[in-house]
Amino acid sequence: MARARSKKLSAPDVNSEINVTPLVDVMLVLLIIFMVVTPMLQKGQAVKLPLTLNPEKKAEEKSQIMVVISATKDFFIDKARMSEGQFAVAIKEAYERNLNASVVLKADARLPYGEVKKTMMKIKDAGFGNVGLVTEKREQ
Amino acid sequence: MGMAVGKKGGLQSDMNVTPLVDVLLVLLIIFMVMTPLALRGYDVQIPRDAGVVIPQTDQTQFIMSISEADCPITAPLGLQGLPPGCTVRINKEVVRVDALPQKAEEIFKNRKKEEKILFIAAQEKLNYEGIMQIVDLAKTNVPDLKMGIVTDEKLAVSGGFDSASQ
Repeated sequence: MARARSKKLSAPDVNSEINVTPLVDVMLVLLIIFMVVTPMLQKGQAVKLPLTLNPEKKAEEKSQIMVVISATKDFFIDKARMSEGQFAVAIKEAYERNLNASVVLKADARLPYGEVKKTMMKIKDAGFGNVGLVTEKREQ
Repeated sequence: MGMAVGKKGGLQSDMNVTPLVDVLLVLLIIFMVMTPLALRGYDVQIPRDAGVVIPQTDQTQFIMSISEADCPITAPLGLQGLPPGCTVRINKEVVRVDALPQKAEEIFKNRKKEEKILFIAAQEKLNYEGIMQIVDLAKTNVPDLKMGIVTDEKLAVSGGFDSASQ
């Protein structure tokens, strides 16, 4: 016992550095999570977005209204599902609630253009003057 | 002398992780900032006072017509994109889609920013993705080009206003 203690005393190293290994571990895991999640991130109901070569980047705003039309012609405002008739009413209400809101439209790539145009007309009738059409960047 | 130094310092066998941690932290912050910017797309103007007929003159307005006869994209597009030989008409002038970026640049190059508007008249039965890809081509060389939509479907087939009827 005594010998062991004396041995310990003769070992001089007191390590004054922080042990960063757990910090690096956590950072790496967070980094990988963000890297994996970023490309699949889609706000609102998920649909198959049209692929284009160089869409503009648009920042998300707080007062942004996300309208989604799925391939089955279901309408969504943010995440709430509704029929076409309910949508016309709901988008009007949304406009009256916030006159400065912007609208982004996520329409399924398989829809005919007429369906999208009809929806844009409804958004216009509600009072909005501008719609953002959301697409996805096609990797070449 | 040498011995004395060796005794004092001792050899450090730990890796220096500080630069590693620095790089990781910066990468982490970049990804965290980029995440809310995940949205990409196109802005389309829909004038509030639709129904008011804007007099059309050749100098100020460009209408891009997309009809089934010119560009058969009624079925959802596959991975190959737009069919070859697909054409559109800009104020009645036939333009192949692969020549569209240059054509749009030529038209809008010398225009003021607020006059860079291209109106889109497309037949309703055409595929949405196809229309967006054509819009994308038109914007390729003119990044500040604004888009408008034409509600009158007849313009998509006729290819624009008749200059004679105006």
